[in-house]
Amino acid sequence: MAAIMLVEDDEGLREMLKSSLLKNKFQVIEATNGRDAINKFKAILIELVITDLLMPEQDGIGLIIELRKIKPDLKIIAISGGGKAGPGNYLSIAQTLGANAIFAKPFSLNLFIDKVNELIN
Amino acid sequence: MNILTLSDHSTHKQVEEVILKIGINFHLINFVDFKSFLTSDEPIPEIAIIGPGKVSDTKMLLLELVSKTPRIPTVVIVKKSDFGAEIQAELIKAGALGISSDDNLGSISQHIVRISIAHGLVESDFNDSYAPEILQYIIDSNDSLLSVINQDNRYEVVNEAFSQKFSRNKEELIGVSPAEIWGHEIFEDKIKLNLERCLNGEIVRYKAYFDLPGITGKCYEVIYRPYYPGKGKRKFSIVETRDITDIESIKKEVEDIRQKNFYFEKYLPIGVFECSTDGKILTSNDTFRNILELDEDDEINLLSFFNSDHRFTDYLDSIKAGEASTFSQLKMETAKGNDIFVRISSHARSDSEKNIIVNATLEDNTREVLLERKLTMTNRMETLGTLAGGIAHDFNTILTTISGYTELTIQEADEDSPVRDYMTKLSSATSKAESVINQMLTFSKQITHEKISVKIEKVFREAMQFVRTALPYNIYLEEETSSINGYILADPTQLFRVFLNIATNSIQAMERDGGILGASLRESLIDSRRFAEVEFRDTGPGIEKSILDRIYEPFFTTKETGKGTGMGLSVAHGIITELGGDIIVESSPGKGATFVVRLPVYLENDLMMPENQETGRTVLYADDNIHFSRTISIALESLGYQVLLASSYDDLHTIINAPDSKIDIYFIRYGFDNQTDKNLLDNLFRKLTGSKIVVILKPGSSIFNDFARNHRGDVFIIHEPVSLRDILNVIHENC
Repeated sequence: MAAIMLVEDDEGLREMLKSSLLKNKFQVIEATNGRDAINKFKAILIELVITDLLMPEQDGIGLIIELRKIKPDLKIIAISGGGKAGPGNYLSIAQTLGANAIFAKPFSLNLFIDKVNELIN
Repeated sequence: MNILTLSDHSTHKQVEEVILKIGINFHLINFVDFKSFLTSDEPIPEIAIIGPGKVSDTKMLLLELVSKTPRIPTVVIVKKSDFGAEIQAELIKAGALGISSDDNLGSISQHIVRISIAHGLVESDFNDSYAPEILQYIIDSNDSLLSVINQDNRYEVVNEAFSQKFSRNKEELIGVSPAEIWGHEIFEDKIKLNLERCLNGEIVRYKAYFDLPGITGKCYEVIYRPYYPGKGKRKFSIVETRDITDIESIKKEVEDIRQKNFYFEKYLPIGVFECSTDGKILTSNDTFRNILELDEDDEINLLSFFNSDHRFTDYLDSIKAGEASTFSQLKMETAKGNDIFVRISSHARSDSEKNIIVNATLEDNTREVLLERKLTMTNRMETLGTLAGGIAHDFNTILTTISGYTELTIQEADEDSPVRDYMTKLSSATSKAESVINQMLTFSKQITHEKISVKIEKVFREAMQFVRTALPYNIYLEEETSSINGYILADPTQLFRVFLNIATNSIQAMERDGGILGASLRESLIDSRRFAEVEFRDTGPGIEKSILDRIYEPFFTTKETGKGTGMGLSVAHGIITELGGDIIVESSPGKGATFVVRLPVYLENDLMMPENQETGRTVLYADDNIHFSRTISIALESLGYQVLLASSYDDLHTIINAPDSKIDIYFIRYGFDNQTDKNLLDNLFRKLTGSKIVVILKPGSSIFNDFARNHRGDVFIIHEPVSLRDILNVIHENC
């Protein structure tokens, strides 16, 4: 079964997404920020990374760039809640950097799971 | 005049000294006892002075003197120890005309003068010989130059001051012509003429600056007075020349002060006033009156101008002399009812009757205060925006969790379980929360709405259609649409919301009493720029000025709880200003309100302009990790940069040496293309002198520090791993 890495600093959201993914029979590896994710990342095992964009330590944009270096064909879903002023729209940058899908919080869990299924299969 | 003194020798001497000081010639007859006098040849004295001795002896002698025919006026000297009221009374009864204590013999002179005048003893003397001397003394002690000129134009008399000024004896000057003293020219031109006028009976008086021997730069007043003594057979001019330099300079000072006061009163661009503690204006200048829009000569009380702001009134109540105070942003209402903001700086003093007087300045700061308030509001809105952005991010995350569990619960629940219904309701509540957060985000400009070219007529009509369906029966809609040649650059859904929001406000204003909602779209030309104007005009109760100033403040609402969030107008305002437009509000109580949304109109040609002009810079990225540099390049290009990639030194050299290469910033990963030769890099940097170079190093590496130092100001170091944000930050900071 394909493994999914879930990178999200908010514990509540991470738990919710994890339960939903587990329910859909995915293996889930959790990380709380970009740095944590890089440390736990296993290129052979992980097929999809779901990452928040605004996180402490290393943020999602940096993570996407790093992960792309390690595993060019990795599937990535970026999720973001808008957030503080910065250059441009984070989600659109993430998409430009090669995120396969983007979700602006709050998003529909059903649509989200559909997208995960679509990317993994 | 003969004065007999009967006393001991030492008293003789002292009395003699006192009498000499009177300044008139007396003949003093001194004897120790009366008998010796009687046997002498001395004449009968006009006045006698006796004592001091035993009171009984003195009294005997006194009685003897005053019983003489003619009786001799007598002054009695008594010992200090006898100088009491009782003895004085006794001596006066015995006929003494004056009593002096032996320790105060000076008082004898007063008695002598008094007796002389009372008995007519001095009258004839003055008339005969002393008067001219006294007159001479008087004129000589005068600092003015005095002279008497006769009708032959010759000096008859001059005073001491005159003779001294010209260093000539008084006697010498008599008979001399003024021409000789003042010069022929001055005499012929001026003096002669004045003398003629004076001899005709005129008093000639003038002021002039002229020089006297050794004295220059002084101002004199010259007065010619006619003098016809006797029956006017001979005529004289009495000429007085008085130094009035000091008087003139004082006059000038006074005039200066007067002019200064006049200036303060008329032209000083700051209000100045003086008032009593009950606010009565005692003095004020024109600016003061202008600021308060007062008519000339209005009797006024300052307190009547403070209707809502009582700080100055309170201050006057508790003021103490010597206190200085300044009040800023004092709100006043002018005589014509306009609200103004002023600054009063005051100082209190006591006048001669110990009343407290307040002297103060008054400045009109209305413009500054309003500007400052506007700025404060802008700042507040910005702070709130930043805050909203932060909150929104966290809320969105929480909402995702809530909506996620809601969906999971719905999936788990049985088809007919009420939990499904509950969860559906929870889900819709979550959506509402989301839209509130979106409003906050819009307000803080965190959401970037896609701006497209919009035909505003279309959006306006759609909004009006919506309005019409929601219109209460008592409100009539007057709609007017003209077509606009061109496009508005905006997010149409946002624009729709703005129109709806303002229209809803207008409708709510008329909900109770009904009215007419005028909605129109038109084109206007301002400073040769074209604008589309959407106007909403209601006939409601209007908006008070104090509220009008605050309508764009977030969370400001006059509506009852539940009817409005206070976000509508501030969000609308935020949207429209971000589009380069403006919302103009005109309203006053009882006259309804008019909102005009003004947006710039673009022609199709205008819209061809690239959107990201600000970032139209060229970035060179040198790295042999092609995948990474490609992602960076894609991201940068999406943000409007032009990106050149170099994966080898050869590439890099080719790009640098290209004749039209115009690169704003170089990113070079140290060690790329397996090239670690420092000299090579050094040469490269020399070639790029004046360019901005960013060297990307492995974490912790300081290998490049000396290079950076050699190329100070142009070379920057960043460490791996590099994120897009790092790169954007470097570009933003240095380009």
